[in-house]
Amino acid sequence: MPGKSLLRSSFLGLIAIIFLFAGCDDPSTVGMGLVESQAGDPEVSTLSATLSNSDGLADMTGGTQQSGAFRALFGQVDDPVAGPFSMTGVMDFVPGSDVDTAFKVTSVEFAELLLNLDYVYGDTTLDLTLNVYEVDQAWDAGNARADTFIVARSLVTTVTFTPEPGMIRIELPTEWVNDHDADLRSDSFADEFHGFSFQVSDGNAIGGIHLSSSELRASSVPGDTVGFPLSKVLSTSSLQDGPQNSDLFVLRDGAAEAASLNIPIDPDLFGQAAIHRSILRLDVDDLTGLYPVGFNRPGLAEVGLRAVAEDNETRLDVLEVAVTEDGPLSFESDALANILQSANLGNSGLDRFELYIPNESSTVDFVAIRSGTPQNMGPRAIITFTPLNR
Amino acid sequence: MITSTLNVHFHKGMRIITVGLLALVTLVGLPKATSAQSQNDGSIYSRFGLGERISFYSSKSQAMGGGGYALSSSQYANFANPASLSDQFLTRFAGGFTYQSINAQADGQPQGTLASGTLSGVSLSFPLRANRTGMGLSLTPYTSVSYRVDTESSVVSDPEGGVSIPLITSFKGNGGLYRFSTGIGHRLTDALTVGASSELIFGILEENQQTLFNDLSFVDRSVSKATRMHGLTAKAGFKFVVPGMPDGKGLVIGGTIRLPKMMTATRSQALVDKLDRDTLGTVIKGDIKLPLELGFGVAFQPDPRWTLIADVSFEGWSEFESDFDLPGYSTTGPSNVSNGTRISAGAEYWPAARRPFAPWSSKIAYRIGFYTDQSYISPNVDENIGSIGITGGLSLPSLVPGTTIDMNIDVGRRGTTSNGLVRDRYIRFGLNINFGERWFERLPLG
Repeated sequence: MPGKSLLRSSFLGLIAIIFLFAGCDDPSTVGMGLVESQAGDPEVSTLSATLSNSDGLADMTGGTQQSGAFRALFGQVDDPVAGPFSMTGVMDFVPGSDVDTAFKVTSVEFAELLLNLDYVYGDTTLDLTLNVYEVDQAWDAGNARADTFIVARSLVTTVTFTPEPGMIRIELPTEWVNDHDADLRSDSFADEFHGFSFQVSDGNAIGGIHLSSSELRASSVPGDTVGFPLSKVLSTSSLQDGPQNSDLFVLRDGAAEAASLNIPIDPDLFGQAAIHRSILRLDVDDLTGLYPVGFNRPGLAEVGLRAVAEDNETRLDVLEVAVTEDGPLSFESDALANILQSANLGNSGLDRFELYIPNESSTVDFVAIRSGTPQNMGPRAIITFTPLNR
Repeated sequence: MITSTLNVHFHKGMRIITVGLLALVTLVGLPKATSAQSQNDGSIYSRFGLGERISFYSSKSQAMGGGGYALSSSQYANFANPASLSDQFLTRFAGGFTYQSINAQADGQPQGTLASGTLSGVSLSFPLRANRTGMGLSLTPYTSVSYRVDTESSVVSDPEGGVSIPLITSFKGNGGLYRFSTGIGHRLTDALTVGASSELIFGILEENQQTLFNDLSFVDRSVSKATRMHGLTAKAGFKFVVPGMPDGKGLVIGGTIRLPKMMTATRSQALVDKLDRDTLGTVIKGDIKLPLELGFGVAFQPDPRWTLIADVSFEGWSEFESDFDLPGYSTTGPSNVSNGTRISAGAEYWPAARRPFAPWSSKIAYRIGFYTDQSYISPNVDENIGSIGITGGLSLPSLVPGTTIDMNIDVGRRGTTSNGLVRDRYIRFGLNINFGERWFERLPLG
């Protein structure tokens, strides 16, 4: 039918023309003089960020086989940069699967600690003298922090060893074995025995016992040795000193949970703005040459940034960045820009930021951040923004 | 009740459903389809005042210059004049969209080409008494804000890195006011027809300034100022058939008046990104007064195949009032608002007039028209912004009696390049679907 064909052709023709013109969209500056700005031209401003010791919580250093820290850290060290620091390691054990009826019917004759030392920080040329105490009371490793107080008054033994990674064997005294014969063979071992506390009395290093491959071993008769695997760990800290050098800020794992970081983004100082990009840059000092030969200082793997609300409880992890030897810590993400944007508009309830070391690190490593103003490479926030005309 | 005396024929059911579905598709789908393509690529002049004035009364009048105050047609519901709603014996649904391409020029700047699509309007009309009393509902744009101006620059975002990052600052406007009209027309005598309608005018005018970086390290944000408003007004109209015309000829005059109306409005500013919208400051409330509108037209049929129309309209924008500053209008200082006028004329040639069994090609209606107008607002007090254009269109009959597909074109120019202004040359294409069907029939009484 010719009419039908013409109708179809006309319709398709119109559609074709529309698509032809659709491909011609090419906006230009024509009319620039006829528009009115609601905002200015994009600018960049470098704000001085302030880094300070947090008066908040200590680091979470407790852990179990399931979660949390995976090392018990113990020792003392006088770091040339970060100053003196000491840790007490606390660990507890549970009966292994080989603790059976045959073991329980005969008195325990022998016991030892077989510990997997997989972390050493400090002077490896000096021996460590380690005092092993028995913990007097039950304790909880879950969510336990470095400032947890653990009572351990009974000295069990003292040993001296070279702080090098490897297995450490500590034979427990006969008196202790005799005193704990019943506990070791009891079904309620976990309730009767609360573990050991490791405190170093001499030396200049901090060691870390890994949760895996560490155990308390006990024998009833020669050839019948059973294991009590390490079940939970905690590292407590007696010192939380700040930096020894005023030009550096030391952020140490195993001490305070975080360091406070303030960025003056509020409208009174900065003006209301559309924030497009935010870079928080922290220069890490190169400490090479400041340490004597034989001083082992493992590098920190990551540093995290989180936002803290005015209620001082709500925290939002923003970003974790890797620590490199030759570059600054640069935090940059849309999330950071959005948080600063809300803060700038007064909508967020942001109180401050915090720098933290992820829990899973289980070390006493630190990073030395350059302090001061942006001009001398101190902490700084580089903000790309468009000021609002209001 | 009229419906109590009428019966719905069951065999019409499926066709009604089909029409209804098509109506729904048009109502819901077309605006989305067009807005998805572009929302803010129109004329920079649409930024001023309440936006660019748009009048769409029917696809027929659009192709004949855009007037039609005296136009009578049983094939179209003519919303230019509510009195024309009496000229119906079919229930009608009409809808369509307009696609426009603009070439914008200004002295000393490279020309820009912009394209955008908008809803032309949708309407539903039906006779209460065939060719005597009819009603109609329509949703049409009243004003349109649709513009975009881009400027390129760069910023050294990380002074320590020293790399310059290119960016685009895009000034955009979108939105506009819609008019939802409910009208009734009634033939008082063979010569005089009157009508009235209530018109709800509502919408949002939005201005954005967006900063765009072609770099994932940056968050693109825009500052958006939105003014929402709504108000109810009324319109009245008449048509008068001049008596004493020779056989086969007809002369009709028509006129309308729409009363001034104070609209309730709010304004807010927000900072917007792809995920969030933060209101800046507080929402401000105020009033905006729409002016009086007058329209007058004549329609002449020298023979049944030809229809000639001429129209003039006046809008008293010099009495415009607003509690808000608007582009081109200041609440405290001088404003560039003046009365708006529009003159148009057009002709239709329909070979198949009074020949219901004419071949399909003879049933095509051909339309042409022109118009010139003076905008109610200007960016520059020394320059009035005027438009002039020619229109044309084809109305293609479909296999369904009473239903046509109309294709229109409008070519024109607006503005000037003097005094730092912009001249737009535009071409618009309109595609409209006009369904007509007898939905209610009186059963023969035997």
